[in-house]
Amino acid sequence: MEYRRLWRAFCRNKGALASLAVLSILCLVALLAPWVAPHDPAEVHEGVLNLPPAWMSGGHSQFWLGTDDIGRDVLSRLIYGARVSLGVGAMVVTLTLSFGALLGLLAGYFGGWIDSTILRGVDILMSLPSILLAIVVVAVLGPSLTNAVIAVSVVALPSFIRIVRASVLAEKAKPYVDATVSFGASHTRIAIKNILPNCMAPIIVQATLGFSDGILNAAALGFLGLGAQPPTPEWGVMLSDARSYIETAWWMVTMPGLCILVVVLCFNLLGDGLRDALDPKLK
Amino acid sequence: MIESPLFFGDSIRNLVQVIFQLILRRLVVSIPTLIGVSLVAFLLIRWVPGDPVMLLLGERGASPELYAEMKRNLGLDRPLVEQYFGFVSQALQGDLGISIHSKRPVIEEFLDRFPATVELGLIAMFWAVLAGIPLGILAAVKRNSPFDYLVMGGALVGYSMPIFWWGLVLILVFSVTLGWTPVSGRISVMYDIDPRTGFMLVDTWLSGEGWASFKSALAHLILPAVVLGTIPLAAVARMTRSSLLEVLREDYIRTARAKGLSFYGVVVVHALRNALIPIITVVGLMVGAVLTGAILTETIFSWPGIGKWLVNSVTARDYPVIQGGVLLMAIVVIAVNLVVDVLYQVVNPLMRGKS
Amino acid sequence: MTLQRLIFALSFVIATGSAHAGEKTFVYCSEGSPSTFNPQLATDGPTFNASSRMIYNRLVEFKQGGTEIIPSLAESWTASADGLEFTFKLRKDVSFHTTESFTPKRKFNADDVLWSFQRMKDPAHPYHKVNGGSYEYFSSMEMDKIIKEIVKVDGSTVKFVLTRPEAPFLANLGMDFASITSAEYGTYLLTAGTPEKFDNEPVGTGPFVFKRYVKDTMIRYEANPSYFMGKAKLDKVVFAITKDPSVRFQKLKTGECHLIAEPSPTDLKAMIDNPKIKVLQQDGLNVGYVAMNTQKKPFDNVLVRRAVHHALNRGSYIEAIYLGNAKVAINPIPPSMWSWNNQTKDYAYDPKEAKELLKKAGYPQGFETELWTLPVSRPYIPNGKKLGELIQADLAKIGIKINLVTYDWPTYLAKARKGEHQMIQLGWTGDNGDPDNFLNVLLGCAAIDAGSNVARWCDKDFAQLIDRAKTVTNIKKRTGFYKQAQVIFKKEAPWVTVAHSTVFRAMSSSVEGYKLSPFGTESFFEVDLH
Repeated sequence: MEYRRLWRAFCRNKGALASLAVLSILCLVALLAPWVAPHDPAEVHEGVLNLPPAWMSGGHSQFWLGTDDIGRDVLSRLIYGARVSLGVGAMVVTLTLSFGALLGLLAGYFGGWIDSTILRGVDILMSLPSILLAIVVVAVLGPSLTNAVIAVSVVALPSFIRIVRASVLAEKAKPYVDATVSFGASHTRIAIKNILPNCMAPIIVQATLGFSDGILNAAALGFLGLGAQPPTPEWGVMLSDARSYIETAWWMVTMPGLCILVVVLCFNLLGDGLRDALDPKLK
Repeated sequence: MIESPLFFGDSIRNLVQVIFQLILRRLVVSIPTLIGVSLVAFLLIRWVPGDPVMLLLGERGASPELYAEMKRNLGLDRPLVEQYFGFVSQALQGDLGISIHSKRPVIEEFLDRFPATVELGLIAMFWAVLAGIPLGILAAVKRNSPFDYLVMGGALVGYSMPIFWWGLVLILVFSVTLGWTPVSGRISVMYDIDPRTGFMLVDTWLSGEGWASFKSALAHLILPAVVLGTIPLAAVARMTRSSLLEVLREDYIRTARAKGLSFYGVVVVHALRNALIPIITVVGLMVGAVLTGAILTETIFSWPGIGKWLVNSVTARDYPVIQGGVLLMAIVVIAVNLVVDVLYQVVNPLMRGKS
Repeated sequence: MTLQRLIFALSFVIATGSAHAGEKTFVYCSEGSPSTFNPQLATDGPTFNASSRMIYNRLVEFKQGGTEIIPSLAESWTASADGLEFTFKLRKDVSFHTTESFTPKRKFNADDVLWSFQRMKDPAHPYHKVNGGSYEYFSSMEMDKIIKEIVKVDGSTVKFVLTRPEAPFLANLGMDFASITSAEYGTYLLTAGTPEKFDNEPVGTGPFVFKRYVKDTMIRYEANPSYFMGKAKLDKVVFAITKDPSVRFQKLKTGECHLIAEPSPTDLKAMIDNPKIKVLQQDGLNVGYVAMNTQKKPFDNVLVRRAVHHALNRGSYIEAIYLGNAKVAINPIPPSMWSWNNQTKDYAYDPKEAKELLKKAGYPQGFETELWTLPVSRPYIPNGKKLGELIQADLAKIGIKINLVTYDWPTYLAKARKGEHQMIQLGWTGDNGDPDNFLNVLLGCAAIDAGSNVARWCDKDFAQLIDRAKTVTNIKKRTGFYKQAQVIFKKEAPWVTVAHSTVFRAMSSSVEGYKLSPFGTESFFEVDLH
């Protein structure tokens, strides 16, 4: 009953609905990449370097979006790149969701020194320039996709903790909590069974937005050469590789960036839609 | 942003008191934060494998004895605890140490570059507010019109923009293809500018090179500022629209209209004033975003500011620069947040008094 | 004034590189900011270009565009028979720069030479601790160990006494860190209480006088009117610091620079096709290589190392990585260097032979290993990542599976120093033109601990040869030793020698008289604009 109401509210937002559709298609493409992609993304086709897209003069019908600087099919790399980026988003959200919810719950529910310690930690993380923090974290751990995910998650953590903490505080003030306590229920039980589920709305919204932030920041790290390593077809890395061809091959710069933009945009729209549907007051 | 709004009354004296308390409380709270920041920066950068000596040696290498001696020269052989307390006690006396790379005091190096970042950030915010607020107002006024959809759609796209890509696209279009704007840097090398204030737009006048050099400096600023201002612009436009819509529903606006004031007069004079609070909040939030975004923007446009300096120093393992520079950045962020909150307090009770 | 500037600026935009009335201002788009303006304190190219090459001179210097040692501040020198004493006769007609804050009262003399070297060598020197007080280049060339003492014989004669015969010593004195600074200026700043200015507001003897440095943006110089070799043809030189090579190229095209540092090979074709741009090339004094860690299995086996050598199609890398601007390397030292051995037999590209060798070595199925790819772009390997991908493909054909790994630059060096790698890309650009500077620095036994011998290869015969070559001064004898050493190196194959790249510079067609240095550093004294 509840879900149906939500779904109907969600469907009223056409933008959100459309992005849900786009994202579903992208997920499907990403999952089915080996069957959808016309070529192996790492395969080097000899003699076809920097080919323009098929519709331009000099293009080749075999390579719809052209080839990159060492002769790999751009379309296939973009398709596999969707896998990487969506995967990165999912991992970042999982990490921040679990740690953020835990710490936010602890801070909000128990208050006192636990709260102030966690809040100070959040303050510290927020006072550090986030990209710089991510760069240093990657430098410590070594450049790889996994480490980029960790770095991006660390950066995303503070805002997550704050939101969970705020909604836990609001929830805790409600009379039913005191009632449950007087029945003798344990803190852990109340926190997990009663409070957390009632804070789900802002958490879900933040998680959706966390997807877009995660994808964006991971791509930024890739762009700075600190994310995925070759031959992983990551969009940020493709973009940074294409940088030196900005004058001669505009499509190499345009395509990966467009992909990032579309995915991030869809997640933001989806987040907006969810927020409106879940709780109009949150707006 | 504000944890608990403090309202004691409408008088100025109370306002001063509130602000004073706010500042005091913030200062107290920021001490552990700054200690934490300095510790995190200090430890993180030392945790990274490879050290500054390694970098100075490059491909050449050095015998273990020589290597140890070089580390000793830089004071890197001392125990970490000793190094950290040395850093903190020096920092308390206003000395952040000497950059390993340039052998100059970190504070001087910071002050040499800080104006470049501030100039870029200010112009970006200026542009975001100047364009964002009118767009937001118009969108709110013409709610659900095609114009509204266009602005809000554009804002959403802007808000989702990977700015490192956006910078490249703008360079591709305006610099490479059209040749309208310079590719990178702060001013054409043809002008001999004495960096007296560090703000190029000011220095061009002080150096007596006049209008042409000012124009050159401005031309160099446009693309980076537009790129850096994109996300704040989107945020400001969205916030202006939604807070204005809320205010427009209020009774007193209807009363004002009933009194025969023109619709736009009401919007500009009454509604906008009341919508200012959330707008200030979002502008304040965006200052942080601008400081972060500056790192990417500065990298793309070779803008000689703080962001680029810090990123380069990570690669160079310039420990004093990282720990000192990050600490200074944190102080700036905290100070900006404080200013925004003070502003909020100033605007908030006064508004209440009038309405 | 303002109008003149405006017209000036407009003419600059419209007519690229056309001659301006009056002053000749030369704009060099450099690749990075100098760390300081005293080369004694630095190890990086951008600093040397901005300081030692513009502002300072050395006792001896390398001939413009070559590696030959010629007189500079020293007009002549003699070496004792045992090779332990070098005596230099100094020029008497050299003045230090007059700047806004300093006017020299005397000419250059022996005191300045002593002052300069003692600062680096003697902890009691008043400037030894100033501005960080670390002299990495000086110490890493072991100059503090080689030099026993420096004696002022008279006002214009200086004698260096060495602790051991060191054939490359003279060449070392031509290197950037051996630049001569002013003792008078140092004392002046000391009494003024501002010694730290010594390295940031430089005073030298060189062709250009330092004017102004705007952080990370530009450096301005003016010609030294009383330079002892005559006034430079350019009146002003501006370094416009531009990190990104494609941006440098764009600025060259729009006429914002006259000459650009380290152009990207990918832009080379477009540069050559552009009639307004001139490209100069020269064989670089460098080598790019893939080293195999000979202390680790399976690369402790010479057969495996030879197999890898045979399996790599190095000819194809020249096109893909260097875009044709390189030569396949046979020896560890480049062909332009004396003692290069043209008799060395190279390993031809031959996957069949490679497989055969692997089988003999006991790896018929191949194996799996790591290749570290160079994280920075260097003339010797402009794109490590791409080179790694090509090597990966080549070795896959003989059953060796390569995992590509990289770290940021200091981490890369630190881990390589510890020998954590299996295969690694690295290279070297020589800094004094002596073969010892390659063979000993990169392949000597002591270099394993020093971290520069990343093959971690120590061969007794090879080491003996290069040690002997260092102690004799007779160049013919030295040549013989080095030629033999190269043969041993090739037979043992600790590296796959990949390439010697061409160094090139792109400039506006109005630039005349510019000569490329094989060391990759810049000199604008003889440059003119038309």
